[in-house]
Amino acid sequence: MTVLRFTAVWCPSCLIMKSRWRVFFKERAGFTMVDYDYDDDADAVKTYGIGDVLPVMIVLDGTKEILRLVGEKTMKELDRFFGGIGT
Amino acid sequence: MIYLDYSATTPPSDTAIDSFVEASRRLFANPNSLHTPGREAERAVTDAANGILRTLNLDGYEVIFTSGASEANNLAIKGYALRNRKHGKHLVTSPFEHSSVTACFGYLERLGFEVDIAETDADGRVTPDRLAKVLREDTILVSIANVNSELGIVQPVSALAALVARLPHAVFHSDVTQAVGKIPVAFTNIGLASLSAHKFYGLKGVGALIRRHDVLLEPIIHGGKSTTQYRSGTPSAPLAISLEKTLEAAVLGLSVTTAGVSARSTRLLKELALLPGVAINSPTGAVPHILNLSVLDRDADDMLAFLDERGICVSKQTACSSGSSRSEAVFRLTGDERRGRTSLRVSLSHLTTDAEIDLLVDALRAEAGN
Repeated sequence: MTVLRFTAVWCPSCLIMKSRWRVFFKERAGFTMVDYDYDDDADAVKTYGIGDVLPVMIVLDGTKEILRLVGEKTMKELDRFFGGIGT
Repeated sequence: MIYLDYSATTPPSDTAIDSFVEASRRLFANPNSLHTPGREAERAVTDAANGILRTLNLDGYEVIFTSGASEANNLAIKGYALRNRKHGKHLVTSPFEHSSVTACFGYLERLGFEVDIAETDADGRVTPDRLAKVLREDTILVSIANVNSELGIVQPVSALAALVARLPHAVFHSDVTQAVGKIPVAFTNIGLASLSAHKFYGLKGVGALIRRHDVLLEPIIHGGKSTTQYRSGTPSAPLAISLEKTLEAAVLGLSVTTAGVSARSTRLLKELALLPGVAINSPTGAVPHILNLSVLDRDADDMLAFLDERGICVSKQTACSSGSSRSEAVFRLTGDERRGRTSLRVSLSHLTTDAEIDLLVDALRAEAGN
């Protein structure tokens, strides 16, 4: 599965979530991470319909979007939203 | 025009303009030149720096003149982190910083630094115990603004800086852009501080990074030694003098200007409390010159346009933010999506009159609850 992560350097929520993602994905195998910059990667931002709240994390199973998380999420929320994905 | 956007910028004072014009005629030479007019210009830059340090009651510091606070923040954060990474790669900031601070941390995170955002209390303050939770032996830099530009949150920087001073290699940086010349600023234990002249009735295009002598930086503008080793380029003696004079006037006049701003702020708060459909987003303890509010049934863009049509100038969020339609700072503090999308920043000055406050309130009353 592929995880797309949209962040921006000026976004405090993105910095907060990067710390949490680091811990969260240490314990979950089978993901390929692809990082996009909100300002630099305008095509990807348009393609995936990224709005004005960051960060955005999209989980793809092949080409099918199976999960989209927008904004800050706690570790508990990450666990809950991911459920059995990738475990 | 009713200008209520003094935290975005202030109109330059006569002192700012006159000192700049006079010095531009007299001190046009390059301060890096070795001839007599060059040496005079260099001496004027040094005298202006010393005047700034006297005004701020600082000893053992250098003034590095910059183009403004954004450059000063970049030099402080990137310059310190890059120069001192051998001591550690852990950095700390708050979630209520100007974008020129947050973006530096975002940039450094991508270079491999670890960044922690300290948690805050219900009023947006990073308390010493909350900061202590994220500090580590390898923390090298903590950057927390004295006053937040959008909500007016005042951080307990003296207590936070004292905590950071106990660490072996850490330095405390504070963006004092919205504080200096507006409220008293204590620099004890602060290694680096950023400011900008146009926030206290000076000219745009000049600011400063105040550096304690033991705090070493990597320059971000390379090009050889100028009047400082940390910032290349031809220094502007007229801009340096103008900054010095306006800062002196702002700090010396603080008690008078603060009294005027506080009176206008109190009047505005009392009137807003009577308006249904208007919520105050600024927390308890915020500075009087910044008041963030929401007209809950009106998107910020619509209200901004409505007020602008009536000649009233306010901001929907800090002028230097991302352009998002939701204020992240207001959403973070209130936890309310609607407030985040409807927030307006009214920023006051000693120049603001009661009549201007009343006209703003009348305009808000016309829209709130409609």
